[in-house]
Amino acid sequence: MNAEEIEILLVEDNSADAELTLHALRKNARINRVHVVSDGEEALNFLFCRGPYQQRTGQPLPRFVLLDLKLPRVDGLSVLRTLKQDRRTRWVPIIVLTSSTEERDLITSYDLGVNSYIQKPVDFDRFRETVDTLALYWLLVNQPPPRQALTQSSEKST
Amino acid sequence: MRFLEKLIAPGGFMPHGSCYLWTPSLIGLHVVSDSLIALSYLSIPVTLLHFTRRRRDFAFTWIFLCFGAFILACGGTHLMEVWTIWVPSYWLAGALKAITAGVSVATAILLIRVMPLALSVPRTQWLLELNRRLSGDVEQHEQAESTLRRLSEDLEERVAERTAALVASNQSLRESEMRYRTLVEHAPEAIVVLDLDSGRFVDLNENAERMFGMGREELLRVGPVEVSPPFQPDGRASSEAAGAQLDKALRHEAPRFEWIHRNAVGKQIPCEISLVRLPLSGRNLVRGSIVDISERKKAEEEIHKLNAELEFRVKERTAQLETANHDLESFTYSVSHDLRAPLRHMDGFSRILIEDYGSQLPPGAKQDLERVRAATLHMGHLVDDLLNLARVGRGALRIVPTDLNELVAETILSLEPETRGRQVDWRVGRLSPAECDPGLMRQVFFNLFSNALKFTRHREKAVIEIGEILDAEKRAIFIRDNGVGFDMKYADKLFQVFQRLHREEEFEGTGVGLAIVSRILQKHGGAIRAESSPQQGATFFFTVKQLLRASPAPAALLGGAA
Repeated sequence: MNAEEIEILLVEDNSADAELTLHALRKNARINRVHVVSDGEEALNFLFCRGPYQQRTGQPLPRFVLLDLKLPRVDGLSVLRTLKQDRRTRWVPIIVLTSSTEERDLITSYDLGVNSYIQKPVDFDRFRETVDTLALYWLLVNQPPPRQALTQSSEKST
Repeated sequence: MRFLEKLIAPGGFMPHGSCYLWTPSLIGLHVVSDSLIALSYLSIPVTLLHFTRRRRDFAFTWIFLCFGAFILACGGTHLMEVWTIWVPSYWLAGALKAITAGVSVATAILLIRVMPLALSVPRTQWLLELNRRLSGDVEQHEQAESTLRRLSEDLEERVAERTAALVASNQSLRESEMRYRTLVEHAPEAIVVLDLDSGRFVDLNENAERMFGMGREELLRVGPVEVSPPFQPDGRASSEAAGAQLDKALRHEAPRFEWIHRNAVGKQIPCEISLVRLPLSGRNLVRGSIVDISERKKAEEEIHKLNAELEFRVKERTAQLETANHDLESFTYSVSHDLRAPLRHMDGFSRILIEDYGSQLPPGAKQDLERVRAATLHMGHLVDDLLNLARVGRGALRIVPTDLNELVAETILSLEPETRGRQVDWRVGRLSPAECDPGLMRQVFFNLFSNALKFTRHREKAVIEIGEILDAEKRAIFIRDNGVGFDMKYADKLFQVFQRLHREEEFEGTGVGLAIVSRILQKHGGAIRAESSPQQGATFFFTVKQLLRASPAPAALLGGAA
């Protein structure tokens, strides 16, 4: 595993939330290779190697994406839709990590093919447990697809 | 005078008795005989007179009268014979004889002259025979007559009978006609009879006169064209439209249709007409029964207007509700996302502070930070509960036949972490299946069981009983605990939002859990109530729709009630 390799993409517009999530990830799971983007458009740019992320072409895709739903510009559900509809990104596990347990969000997310849906608990201890659990699961327990399938590219493969 | 004296008074003659030498026996003989003759002769004309009086049909009356006169005169001469025995008035006697002679001669001559006539009068014997035969005839005649009479009586009887029958039939015909006339005259509708050959009315009732504002004679004269406007509301010419309907009537289809009439002052009258062909051979008569439906039309218009208004208001209201619903949804969505985030941050950074800088914090600061965390978590629960409550109010029910026993077992299992280290005796009875939303019903059991666990916390052994009873003839599910219970005077507050009967320090909670339970049951058409007294435990009873085996309630119907 390359030291430069980004293991997790965190899509979170709220810096406090981002910091708490990073804190939780680092504290127990000791995961440091996390890239944070603060809106949906940036997330898509990162994953499709566009704009400021062009140099990422050829890099492996993140092991999973933590996606908030309430985002500026392009919201979380649109990001989810785009990623799951694109051949290049559809195998990347997307975990919705949000405050909301609104039914319509749940339904839409699962409709679009979300891999997991987690509500952020108010209780920080429980939040940390949750983050630990999911990181452990997606990084260690879950068997990912072959690596070559998860290489980033800017061209749309047909 | 001398003559009269000479006639009556004897003048020198001797009475006739002298001739008889006054021999008494001889005189007696003459006197008696002449007297008897005279009496007889006098009686005969009386008898004859009487005869002629009685038999006026007799042909020869005057002969009898002659005989009478002649016999009377003879009688007179015999009286004179008696008179002259003592008084010698021979002149007088002679004069009487002369009169008698004249009468006798005249009678004799007359008798001779009448004889041929008298001979032609049928003889008595023949008459008798004739009479006998006649009487035979008469008998026959009488028989015939009686037969005739009988026949005649018979006939008369039959004529009388027939007449009576005719009278009766006439009467009933008249009554019948009067009845029909009355029916027509007093029918609530206007009735006209139209002759299609002449294109004129031939009969109509008073209502028709009233409806069209014309007298009978005028209506009979002007005909049907005058009582309709030139066009009907559908744009067809009245004559054409009426023709089509009348054709149907002629084909015995008895059409019924709406029509606009026009009265004498030009006012249009919406009507309903039914036409029927009258059963009269050779004539094309159609009876029209016309009902003024102005009121009905007005009412219909009114209803249409009201309906449109109502529809508009419903639409308006729906739009308002939709807006309100949308606003509420945005609000709860926002609450769900945005209110919880700051709480999470407060809790998260407090925790980080304690963990990362705990050793550097002055005494008491760590404790204060824990208080911040506790308050934050409580706020988090409040927000979650409120969102739950809002969700119950907003969401649609998904009613399905549900096994409540399963729900109860699952719920008890899910509460296991909370009962850890406690002695809890769950006494679960058998529950009947129900028609409900299983997700929401699980929430009901969860909230009620959590409640029971919370308020039995200080009991050495918590006893929580679940079962089914008949409460006021309705099946009710009950949940009984042996917890602290509550004072019944606060029972009405139990199910209201944010109403709590215990201090936070005693028993934590937000005061929303039972409100949610009550709300869910209300949505199901059920209800909940509680019975308790302090330290005696509490029992909650609730009703939920029982499963109807034959026809499960359609989910869409109940779902739509949300």
